[in-house]
Amino acid sequence: MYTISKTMVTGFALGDGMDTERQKDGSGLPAFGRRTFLTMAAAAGAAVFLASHAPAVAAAVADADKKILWLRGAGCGGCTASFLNGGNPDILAAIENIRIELSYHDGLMGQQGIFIDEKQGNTERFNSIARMDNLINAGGYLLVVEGAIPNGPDGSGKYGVIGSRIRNGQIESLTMKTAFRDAAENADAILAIGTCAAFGGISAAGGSATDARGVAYTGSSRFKGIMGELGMKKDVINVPGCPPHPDWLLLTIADMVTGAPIETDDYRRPAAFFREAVHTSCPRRGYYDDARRDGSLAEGRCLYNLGCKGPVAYADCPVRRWNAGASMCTQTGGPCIACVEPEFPDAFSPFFSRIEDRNLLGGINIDTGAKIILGGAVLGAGIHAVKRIAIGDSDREEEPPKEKGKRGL
Amino acid sequence: MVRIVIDPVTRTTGGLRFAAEMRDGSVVDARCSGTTYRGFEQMLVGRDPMDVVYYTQRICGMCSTPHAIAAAGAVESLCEASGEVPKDALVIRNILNGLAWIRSHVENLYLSFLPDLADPFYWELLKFSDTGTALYGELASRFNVPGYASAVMTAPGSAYADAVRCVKLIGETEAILSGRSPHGPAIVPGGVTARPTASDLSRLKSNYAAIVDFLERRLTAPLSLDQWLANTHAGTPDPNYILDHVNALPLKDLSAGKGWNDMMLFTVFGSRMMSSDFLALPVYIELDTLGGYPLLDQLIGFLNHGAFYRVRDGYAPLDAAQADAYQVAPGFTAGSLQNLFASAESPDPARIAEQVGSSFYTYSGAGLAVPPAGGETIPAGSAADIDYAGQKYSFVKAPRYGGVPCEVGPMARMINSREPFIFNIMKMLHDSNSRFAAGKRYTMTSVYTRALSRMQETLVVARWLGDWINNDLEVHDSARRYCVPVTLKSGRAGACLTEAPRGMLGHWIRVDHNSRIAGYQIVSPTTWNASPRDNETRYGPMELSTIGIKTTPRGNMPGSEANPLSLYHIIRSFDPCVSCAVHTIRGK
Repeated sequence: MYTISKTMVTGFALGDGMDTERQKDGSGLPAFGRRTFLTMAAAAGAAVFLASHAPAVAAAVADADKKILWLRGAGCGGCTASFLNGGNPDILAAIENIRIELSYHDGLMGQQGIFIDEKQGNTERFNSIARMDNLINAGGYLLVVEGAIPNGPDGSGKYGVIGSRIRNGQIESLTMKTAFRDAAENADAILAIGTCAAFGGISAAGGSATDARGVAYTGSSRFKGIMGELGMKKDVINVPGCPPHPDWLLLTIADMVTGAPIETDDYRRPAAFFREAVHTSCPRRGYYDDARRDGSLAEGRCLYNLGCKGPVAYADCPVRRWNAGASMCTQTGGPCIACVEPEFPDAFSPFFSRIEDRNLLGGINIDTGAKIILGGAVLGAGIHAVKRIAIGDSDREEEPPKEKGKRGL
Repeated sequence: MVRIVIDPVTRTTGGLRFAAEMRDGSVVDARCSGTTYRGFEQMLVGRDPMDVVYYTQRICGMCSTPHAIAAAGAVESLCEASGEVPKDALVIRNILNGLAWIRSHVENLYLSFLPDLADPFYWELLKFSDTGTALYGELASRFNVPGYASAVMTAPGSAYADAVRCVKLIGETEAILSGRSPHGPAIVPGGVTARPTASDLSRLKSNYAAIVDFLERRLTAPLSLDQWLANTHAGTPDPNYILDHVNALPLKDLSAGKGWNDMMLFTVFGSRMMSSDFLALPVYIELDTLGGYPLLDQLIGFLNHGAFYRVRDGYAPLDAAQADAYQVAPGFTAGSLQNLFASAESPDPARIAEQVGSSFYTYSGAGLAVPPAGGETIPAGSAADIDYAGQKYSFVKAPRYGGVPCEVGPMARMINSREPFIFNIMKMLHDSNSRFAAGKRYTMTSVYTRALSRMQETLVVARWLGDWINNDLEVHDSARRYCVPVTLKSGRAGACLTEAPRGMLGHWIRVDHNSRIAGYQIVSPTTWNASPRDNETRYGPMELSTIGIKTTPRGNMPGSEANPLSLYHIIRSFDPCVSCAVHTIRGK
């Protein structure tokens, strides 16, 4: 089982049964202080779990009273927008009542960076950069990274500047790369949210000259993550998605601030959310099984022939649905584009081309590939075979051997 | 000489820096910089044109829908399919776009702009009178950002909390048709993928009612949305209505229940003209003296394209000459505002060109101003070239309309449509200059007019949204069509201009002989508003609107350089979105 850091799990009696942890207030609700929400959410079904246990989740997180430093690099702000769509616990309740203290977030905070001549203006009450410095110096926070980290030009990181600061009596640009390095150094735990921060995502798509990197990975390569570039070694949890579902974010944050162990897959995604292929529970799955597949958009049936990547994308969108259960991509007729996968978008575009036409299968015979997919739709093992090919087998060899076998599935 | 640098400007999408040089207490020079380079369009070269919607909507997590509409429109123009897109698809696009506008405006007002009115500075300013104390109490208890030190509280303001819930509700409403929000996949070249069911329709209607409930509670109560618009917007409203309305409000009690909704509180106390000149009140925050365009020798303009399709099959992507082609008509008005009593000019998209004299880019050819259709961007390739104190100082380019920098966004649209409420407010400001004593100089455009425009436009769009949802959207049946197949043509170009909530948005596409993308160019609203100087050293609109101002609306107070609220008000009133502004493409 993968744990965030040694210090955070000290004193945790892993494997405690729920029976021994009933709350003493007579509510009958399990006490969550030592539990991982993700595991329980997976067991109970996340929606049911959240509906029935939101107050208990809130209570557990309230005890943790953890500060969050949220850095935003090259991205669109969509992860924050999705975060604000948070269903359960309601995001304001999370900030107000359960005291997840969002100490630094440049899109939401009251302060701003302010400098007069070559001096920092004001204190952290008014100055966001002073606040960031103080947080980093105090340490012990959860670092949330949104957006990719530009490394260009020439490794300077100056394609991504997120503020100014004073060094040696002079004002200078603070790059996302430098801010990340400083903040990661003193963080208790690191969470990369969205596919840009987790894997580079859209920001690192082929053709871009910014040399944008994910935190721990770029694509499926750990060597190319910004931490590899900086020579840092720290544990990172990835919650990808373009955007990530707010439940994924809030539950993972809840787990991390309470120091619970998180079971992850090969790419350090919480297994509870990224275990099953989208295809498995797709609302249009019946049409697939009946071989009624649309040849043009907006016909209402299976989207496989329109390029749907649901069979090779691993996320619980179909059972969770989006925006408080309103819908999801394939339900509304949009093909899945596998936005949670390490090699998104390049391995999955053209988005409207079938998986086998896309040469996703690394040059193996198209007929064979199609059979793997068709078989894989029924047999999980087949799917994994296809997936391993799809995400780029060659890069996987770069992973140190000890990382293998950590898969918690 | 004092130099103030705000970096980062927070409560935007990030990557914005603003520097101001102060002399004798006034801003004499300003530099607005985008500090992130994203290389977004470079990655599109060589890709399948059908993919541009899903790529370009990821430029911006707030304006995902407008980018999708512009990208789909560019491909439809390329494929000569604009006239074929079915009516039902256009209705759904209108609904998604209308929701995006309301969400964007609510986010700017409540999460970005209005919180600055709860700054502790205003407590120091207002605490000396009962009305002032009551006013600050309202400002802080409504608009405070959670965790930020207003003078009286740290919890989020009631309006802030209300707005976050409304934003979430709008996301849920979008997702009914778009699959999810943000970055739903429903908008595609040729139409939309969604086919609304009866239950979708009933959820849309009930969510719409809840959104209107929020807007009425915050902005029009005790009047309904329809009553407010009937009194201020429709037909030829009585110019004295707003004065009579605010005159009737009780000064002993500034609570929302007494008619002091957020819009009225702002209309009265955000203006010296309204509060002091007309109502003789002792307290006010003179936002009507900030962020306008005083009659300097630099030209400025107000520009918008058409937005929201007419409810019929097909549309004209670039035909600005047809004033009737869109619900919001295209328009251009010169910044002198001499022609307010005549209609706005009809803009010509061919007059748009971008310059890079102050931007971290170069052009390969000899041209200094390049139209987006043939645009290119070669970014500064070495770290040493990226210096915010240098001659080039921004990753945002400088688009100009016939050489003139233009403000885009809600205020430009309201000016160009001569919207009656905003028109009357501007006229009152103008007339006040002659009516009252010297020294009380108001510009017709200002932070005050800009924020009021955003509020009024939110209400107008909400009204249209009701029509689309309640009257035009129908349940799917076999006779309805939502998408037409588009046929890619090689060696061609296409373009789509539209309006995002923040202003004019254009996508230009060129494809090679293999029908792959050869060039893609985007000019987004913030590229206009946050543009740096151009080759003739003309300021961009945000820069120009700060020239001459003091650090606070009351002048320079002790220590106010370290908390220059005037600059915060002005910058956030433009609703800058740097994610959108710094994408750029290598053409060729």
